Amino acid sequence: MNTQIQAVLENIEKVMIGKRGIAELCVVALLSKGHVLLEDVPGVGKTMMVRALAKSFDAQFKRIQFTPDLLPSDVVGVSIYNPKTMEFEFRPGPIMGDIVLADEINRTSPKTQSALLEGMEEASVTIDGNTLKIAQPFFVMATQNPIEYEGTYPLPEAQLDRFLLKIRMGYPTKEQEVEILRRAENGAPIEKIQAVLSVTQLVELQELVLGVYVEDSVKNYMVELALQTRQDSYVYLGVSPRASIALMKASQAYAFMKGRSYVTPDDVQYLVPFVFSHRLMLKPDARYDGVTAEEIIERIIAKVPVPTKRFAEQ
Amino acid sequence: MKKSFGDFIELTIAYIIIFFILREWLVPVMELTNTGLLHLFLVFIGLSLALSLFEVRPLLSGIVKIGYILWFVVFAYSGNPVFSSETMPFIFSEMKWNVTAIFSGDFGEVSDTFRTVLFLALIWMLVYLIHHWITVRMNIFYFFALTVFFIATLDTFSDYDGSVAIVKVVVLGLVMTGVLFVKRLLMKSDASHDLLSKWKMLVPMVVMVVMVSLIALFLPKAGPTWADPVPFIKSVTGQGESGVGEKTAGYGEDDSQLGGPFNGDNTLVFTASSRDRHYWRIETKDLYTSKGWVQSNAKVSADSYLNNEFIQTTLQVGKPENEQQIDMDLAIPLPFLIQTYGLKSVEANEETVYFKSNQTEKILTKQYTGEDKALLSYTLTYSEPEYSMQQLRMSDPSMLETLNSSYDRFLQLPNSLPRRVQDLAIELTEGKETVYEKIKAIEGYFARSGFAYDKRAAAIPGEGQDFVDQFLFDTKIGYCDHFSTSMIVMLRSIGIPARWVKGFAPGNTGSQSDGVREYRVTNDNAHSWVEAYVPGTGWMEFEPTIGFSGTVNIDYDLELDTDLQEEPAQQEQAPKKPKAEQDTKKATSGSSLNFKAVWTWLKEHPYVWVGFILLVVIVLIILFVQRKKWIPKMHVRSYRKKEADWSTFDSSYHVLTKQLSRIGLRRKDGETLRAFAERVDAALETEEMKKLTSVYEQHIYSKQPQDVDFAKLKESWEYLINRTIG
Repeated sequence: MNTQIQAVLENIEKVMIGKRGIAELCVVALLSKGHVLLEDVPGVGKTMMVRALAKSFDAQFKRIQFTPDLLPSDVVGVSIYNPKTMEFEFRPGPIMGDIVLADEINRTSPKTQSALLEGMEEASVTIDGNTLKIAQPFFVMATQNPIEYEGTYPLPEAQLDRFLLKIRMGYPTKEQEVEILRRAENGAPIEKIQAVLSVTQLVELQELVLGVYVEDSVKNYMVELALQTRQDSYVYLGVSPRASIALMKASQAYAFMKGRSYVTPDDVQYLVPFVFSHRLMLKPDARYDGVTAEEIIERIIAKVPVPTKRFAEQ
Repeated sequence: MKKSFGDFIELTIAYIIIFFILREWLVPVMELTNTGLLHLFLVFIGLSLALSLFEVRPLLSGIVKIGYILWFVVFAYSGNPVFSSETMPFIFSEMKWNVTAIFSGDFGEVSDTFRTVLFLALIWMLVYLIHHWITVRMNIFYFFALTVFFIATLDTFSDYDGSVAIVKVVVLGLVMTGVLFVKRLLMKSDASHDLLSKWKMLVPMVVMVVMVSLIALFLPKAGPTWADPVPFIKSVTGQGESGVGEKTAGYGEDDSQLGGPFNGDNTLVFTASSRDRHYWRIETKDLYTSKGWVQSNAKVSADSYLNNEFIQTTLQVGKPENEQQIDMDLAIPLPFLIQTYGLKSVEANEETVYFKSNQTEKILTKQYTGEDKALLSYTLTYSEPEYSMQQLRMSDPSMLETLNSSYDRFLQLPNSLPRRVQDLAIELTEGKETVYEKIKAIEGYFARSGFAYDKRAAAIPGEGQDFVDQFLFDTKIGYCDHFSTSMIVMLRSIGIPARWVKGFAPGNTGSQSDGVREYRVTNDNAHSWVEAYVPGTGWMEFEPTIGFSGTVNIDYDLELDTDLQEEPAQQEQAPKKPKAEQDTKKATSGSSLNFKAVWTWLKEHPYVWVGFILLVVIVLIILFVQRKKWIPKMHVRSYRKKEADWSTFDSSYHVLTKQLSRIGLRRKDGETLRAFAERVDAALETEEMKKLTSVYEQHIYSKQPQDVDFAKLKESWEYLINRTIG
């Protein structure tokens, strides 16, 4: 385990109980410059997770609450005429933060959604013809509530592709929930945690992740997994090459977090469901047969042979 | 762990089953030893089981049991009430008597009282053992199997009828085995131990056993495939006793009713000291009655000879330089000679007249006065005849037509002989040019046509049924009389003179000294065979009976080229050549033929091949079955020598995964090495596989593997390999 990341995770754990796996995945996305879609009902700690993460890095935390009447300019920012200087002055929107929580992203209109997603993908925003770069670290955690459908604009598949990982939060166990109450008894624990890593250090780590070695046989394995999703009989549209890239990036970050300088198939297998599941478009048959994307991925993992030799020796 | 009520119930059931199984042991023992008071013994078994079921303290349980034994003995043997003044003196006197008997070594002197005590003590021990089996080992299978074996054996070898007992034992034993298996299963798995889940497994098992038993009970059953082994075993162990209506092996005069089973009899008839193996000839018979053999009333003369006088027979005599002697030593004095082929003269210590009937070829021993004289020992001088193959090849069938009328009696056949016997003979000899070949064709027919040799299963021909016809076409099971008679009848039916010879087979070989071997001939060796007339050669012996090999000595003088010489020899004579002849042949033909001789010998003894191949197959099977034991050991040895580097590590890791797959730990396609290693470590209770795997992972997935301690890895590797063996 990388010691710096270990410290971050331990810091988060002070606030989030029993959510080590989720925290790890968030850190993986952060390290590989990706974004996370958190799908779950309200109140299970989505916001707390992002805030803890932001606080651990001493990063700027911004939050956008998506509502049907939210406009793109509310997200990216707006130019306002300043009568004193007789000039338009740019007021940056909340997307210009380091770590952004986009709450209930499916509640807003597609126009506003795409403004956010463009910013996520390009790491830049365009206002009045001027393109502004968003500085690293830039990490968006979007949440969506899978229960309510009325008055929502579900994200199209093409846009879901922009998220590196889709994570389900899940309820805590009984013991964990009791522990949560115990910690919340004397004030919110989030206020007590301190930054363990600076933003600069985070950017350095992001650079180090790129140096994690992916042996060709493992790359081959990743591509084979992607190919299999395109051939599955339940899948209408398999994952794109962008998904393969995402899988590799995430695997590198994961291996780095685990303190390794190379990716193993274990990393890949662990991450595949989080990377692929929201990118698969299933046929209606799948829904009739009660087959979920996760199950299809599980089957593919069991089927594709794990490389046990170097690519050159195969 | 405190026993639950369910456990107790279960144990009680087990003990009840055991009680009934033990009862099946006790009943035949009581029955066969004429012991009474079965119920008292059963009470003792019940008592012992109950004491062990309720886990009564050993001391108390011992006192109870000893008390019961004493009461039993007093009750059964003294005839007095237990609490009478006689009881103590009785016990003491018995003790004194038996202790004295034992210390003086007179084990036969111990009284029944003592034996009963010992028997009860044995039951005590048995119950203790069963208790151990049930509660500790939870496996009663050996006891169960032993019980089945015990009852089967008693049923076979004694008067006890176990046909009901065996059913009871099998049902009880299977239920018991099942109950204990379920128990073991639940112990091993962490399944809940509640009564319900146990019964869920037990009830179907019991239902299954009962159903199978019921079905088996009511289904029609085939009779025994094997003949009753008792007579055979009795004959081997020398307890022969002739049953009613059955014949006993041995030489007898009356052969008018052949067929039917007969019992073995290993009474020694005579011992012969000889250099060669012989068929012991006594007499011939010529008239076949369709049921057996009698003597025709042909008018043939008789001759008489004295000691050392040359005896003229119808048989060939070998060259004078091959003359040998046999010392005959009879266990029972017989009033006739036991002859060999090539007999020249006889010498007895006493003055004897040898009275030879030319009709039967039997040589009676008589005194000068004409009275029968039974000799106990004499010496036979003989020269083993050699039949020339060249001459045999010249035996043209047309020569048979010119035979004079004295041979007519050897062509006699009953009118009632079914036509198909002759048809078969013609079919068998079709295309054979010479008489000799025809004879050999019929002689060899039995061995290759599904006939079986059986002394017990032979049938007796029914009214109006021909003995030969029945054997050839219906039963195909019989002993020497069947084979020899059938061959003769077939030979006669195609015009070849043949006669029936009675006597003894060579016998069991005993000690050997100076090339002279002792042949012990018993009643079991009584035998019959065939003599057929080959034109140009004369009378020759033939042996159609399966499992016997004749002693005929053929000189393969056809051509001098050795290659061609061996060829017909094997075809025609191979299975018949006795070993003695082999040896002489080898000696004369010189060392260059040794390999050939070995090869011939091997050809003649296909069972050696079969045995050898079987051995190889067995060895291969053992090697295959045991491969998970020896292959890794070889690998360990070879890797110890190899240099420790990445390539060695790489191949050794693969060897290990292969070995793991042999013991059932196979990596699935989609399973990563680490997941596999965790599974292996869990199964073998180690941590080594994870260590090895993390290094191997680094080796195959990383850019540049770091330095590792190969010595330590090797240790882990060897440890794992050894784990897979152990």
